[in-house]
Amino acid sequence: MIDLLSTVEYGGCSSKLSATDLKIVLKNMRRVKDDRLLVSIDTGDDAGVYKLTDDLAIIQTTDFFPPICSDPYEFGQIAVANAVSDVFAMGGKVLTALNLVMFPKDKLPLAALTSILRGGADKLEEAGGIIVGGHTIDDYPPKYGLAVTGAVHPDKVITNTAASVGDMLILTKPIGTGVVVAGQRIDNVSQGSYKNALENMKLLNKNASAIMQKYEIRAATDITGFGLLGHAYQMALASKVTFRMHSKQVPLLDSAYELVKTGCIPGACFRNQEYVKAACMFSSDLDYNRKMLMLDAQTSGGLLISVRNEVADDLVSDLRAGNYPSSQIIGQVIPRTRDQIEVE
Amino acid sequence: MSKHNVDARGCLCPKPIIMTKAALDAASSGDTLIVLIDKEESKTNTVTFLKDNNIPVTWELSEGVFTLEVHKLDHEFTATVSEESCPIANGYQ
Repeated sequence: MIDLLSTVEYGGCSSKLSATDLKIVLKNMRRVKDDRLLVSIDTGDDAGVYKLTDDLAIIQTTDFFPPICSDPYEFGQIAVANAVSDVFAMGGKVLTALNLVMFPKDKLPLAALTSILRGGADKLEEAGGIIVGGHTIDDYPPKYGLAVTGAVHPDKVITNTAASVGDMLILTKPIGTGVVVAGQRIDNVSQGSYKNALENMKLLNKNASAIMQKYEIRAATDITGFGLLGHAYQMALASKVTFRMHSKQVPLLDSAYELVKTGCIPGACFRNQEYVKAACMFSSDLDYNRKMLMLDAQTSGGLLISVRNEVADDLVSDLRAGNYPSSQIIGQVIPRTRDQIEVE
Repeated sequence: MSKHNVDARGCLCPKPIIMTKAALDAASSGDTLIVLIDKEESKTNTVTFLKDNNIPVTWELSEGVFTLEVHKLDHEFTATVSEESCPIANGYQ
């Protein structure tokens, strides 16, 4: 039986370059000014948005990574759920996608790649999109993902720049995927907890996106490799506000807390801590284990939504009824203080 | 005041932290742990974990192996550590 997890030390979004390194590289990239470019790399948003006509803009995004789980079909599903998530976070619809494949033909049977691609195509169909092509490279360890094109009305783009003071912050999925997968790799987690983490990663953010659009949400992002605090930081920074977050309200995957307590803390947590620490104020009585979970790299994580206080409870109820039972208010938006993030 | 050895060579992250944490939990106050790690990132993460929790640690590198000396305090996770006790000036962090 093929175990893709045995090919990697860090899989999924834990394998990303650190946000700190990325910042250094992007600083030196030439900026392009174009009125049709509605969302660029400047705000660290989920995807680029380019206006074609007055009522149509395209969303372009890509994600690929090494295996996050043992089974090839499930890896395909999760990689695609993660790749299309950026489109949903921005309020768009998925149209088409290209497969991005790196696969070691001498080390793994081709049947594994067939399964990965089948899982990916099935998940993309569920997301409302179709595969129109792709590209393959012989490489080890294997990596898979998509380059995705989506569509959105130019006036209805949901970005990370529009969180307003007084808004509540809602998270739609529990966190801890990096920790639970690390636990699985060292055989330290129950199969029930591991399967539960996989199901959470396979769950598309499609329905959550449709639900939040009913509430005319203008600010949201999806939680992936930089962890809850890393993405919250980018959103608070881009919105010129501060997020006050309540660690005890943050929903956690089964077994995630217990694993961190034993020291099962993936390297990405430390890289993300390095990224946010200068902009974060952690309360002195903050539980260290919860802090590290808030820094855990998520693969196919949930949406972080900034919503008007008056309708926050209704949105949470709708999300819980709409296949996101862990949805929870985890903080609020306050006027900009010295720090972008305050964690209690 | 005994010494305990933790050999985390060849272990992938986050195993070295788990082994160090387990040994610390089992040790008595005043004990010393000697932790061997052969990957720089694992060493960095383990040292950061210990420093985050105010547990005194020093380390040195010899022939590709990092040797960490960790001190179990009276009140684990509450004591303070001075910067001087963390010789990170070797250029490996």
